[in-house]
Amino acid sequence: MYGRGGPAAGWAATLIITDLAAKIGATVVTAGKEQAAIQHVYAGDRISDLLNHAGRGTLLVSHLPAIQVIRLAELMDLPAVCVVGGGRATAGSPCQGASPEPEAVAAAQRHGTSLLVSPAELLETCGRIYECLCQERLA
Amino acid sequence: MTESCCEIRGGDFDQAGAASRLLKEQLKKIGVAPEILRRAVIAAYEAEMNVVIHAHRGVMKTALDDTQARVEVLDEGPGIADPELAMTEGYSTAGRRARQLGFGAGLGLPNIRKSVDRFTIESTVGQGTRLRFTIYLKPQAGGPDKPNSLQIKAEGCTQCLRCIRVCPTRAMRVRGTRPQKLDYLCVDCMSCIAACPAGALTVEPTVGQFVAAPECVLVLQPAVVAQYVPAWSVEDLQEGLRQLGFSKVIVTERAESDLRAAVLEHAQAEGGGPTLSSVCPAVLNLIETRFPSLLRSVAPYLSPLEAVREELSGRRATFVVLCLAQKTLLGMGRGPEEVDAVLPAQMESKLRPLLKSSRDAAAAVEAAAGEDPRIARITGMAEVVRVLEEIENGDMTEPRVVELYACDEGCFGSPLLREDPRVSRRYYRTSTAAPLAARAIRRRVALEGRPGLRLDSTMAGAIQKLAEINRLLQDLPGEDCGLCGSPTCAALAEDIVLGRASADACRKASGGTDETR
Repeated sequence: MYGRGGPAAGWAATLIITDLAAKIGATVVTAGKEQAAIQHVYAGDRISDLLNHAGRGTLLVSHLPAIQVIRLAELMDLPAVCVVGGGRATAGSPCQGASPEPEAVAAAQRHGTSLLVSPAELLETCGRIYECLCQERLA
Repeated sequence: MTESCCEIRGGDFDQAGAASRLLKEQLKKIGVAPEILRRAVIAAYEAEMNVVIHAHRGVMKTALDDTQARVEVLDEGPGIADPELAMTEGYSTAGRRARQLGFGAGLGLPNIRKSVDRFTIESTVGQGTRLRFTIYLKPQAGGPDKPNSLQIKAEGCTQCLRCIRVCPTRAMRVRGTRPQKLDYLCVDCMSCIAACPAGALTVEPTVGQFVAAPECVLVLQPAVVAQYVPAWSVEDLQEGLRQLGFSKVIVTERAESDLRAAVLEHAQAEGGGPTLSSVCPAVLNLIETRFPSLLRSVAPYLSPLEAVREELSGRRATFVVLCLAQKTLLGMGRGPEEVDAVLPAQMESKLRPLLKSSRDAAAAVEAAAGEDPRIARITGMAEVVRVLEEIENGDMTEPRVVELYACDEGCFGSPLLREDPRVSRRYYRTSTAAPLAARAIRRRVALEGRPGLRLDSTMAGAIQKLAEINRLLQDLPGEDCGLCGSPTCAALAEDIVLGRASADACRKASGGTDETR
């Protein structure tokens, strides 16, 4: 099991997805809705956990294949997901540098979900997001 | 009602989620509230993925009407050998592929149960599984429609007026030869039943029979067990119940202690004034009606009986209820097929003949467990009202947790029980029967103030009525004698303005009927 982070407790910061992507060095694969704002962040690799913590304005961060996370985002009406390890990783064998499967990209476009791909590992990705949120709160 | 059906293919992770999406679209179209929609989608997706992960093929059937969504997921597959084990968080038999995709965390079934209002699972090994759940689409409505279970008998009332004086919400009137209740004010506290010397007030008789259906779980509360314990051992009791067909008996004590622990924890975290325990449903009704400003001080957990019902969700269960409020709770928003409520007396009449001759009572006596100094126990409706007033005024800040019980001496003092509460409470030994592994369960639907005290649906109308009441009050003697059938002069003035009593009901008022006689 990879690192799991809890919901961003106490973070009232609202981030614009494209700003966030630029700050954490992630690639925006699909831009989704403009101005979609993020109120919570949850990272995990278990679908049940992601389901339970997905709410309004949640950004999910996961190692799971992009298509799984996108499908979940569509079901739960989430604005954005960020996959790490290229979005094609399977638990135990992250493959860096790859890009998400075309089906995942198509699904994200169809539903207007922002799909970010972070070049960093889960822990580092979460760390960068955390920094952004802290800065946002100070600003 | 509308029904629909969607097939699910086992092992097809690419198409997985289609059935859940269909359900979601339908619920959106009928305008279901977002939080309820969210719960429905979580449950549907988990159920659908179970089929994809474990079964060969399956189908999701949904039936929607204006009050509930019923979902049934049937599959052909290996089935579940031990459903209880499968309900344990972290237990999973999912294969490697599913786990690589993030499934198989062993949280699916527990997640479904947490998200829905009713949940049943049946499975035959080697054939398949049938999972059903229901989600209520409207949160239980507050307001004038809140039900109660007080029943007024046609005969017996001696017009002693005790009930109208003792009612904490002034819901009782005695007009003509029998009492009447104002349903929107009644909080099911049983003060009137306890006060009535004539037995004219009772619990609504629409309770089930004390008959064991197959697979039926019998739920007893400590105070019920205590009616038998000094004279008979728990083993005797269980043997008698087994003869009646109840092979599985659950005592709710564990749910009570779990709630107590959760409330204490909640109170430590919250700080501020005292936290009110949610243990007694009648007290919660009272707070909703008379003290809505205190609702935010109530710990956000289900009462022990509700928690047990939640735990048993989907299984057939008979609850021996101790009060009107419990009976009402069990009947609310539920299909009649799963839960029966019976009264202690019904159980006793069947059980007692089966029990062996009673033994030496003294042997069973054990001292009650020490009370926790952080918890103040307040019992009896008059005391409860006094304490709630103190808390509302900010005069009481000290105990961390206040446990309020409508009945004198708590549930042991229910007027529906025979033994004196001071005796039965002492006799009751803790942990006498297999406890249920329940944890305190958070409320999904927040408690809501009842408009019971409002005079009119619009504020302007209410102000006008208030003015009329004040004017009438000046002509009334202010003795609160109750002879008119209303508990106080103020209540009579309200009754007159709201058309519930005639303008000349008071015999003592200037110009009233007494003087003209």
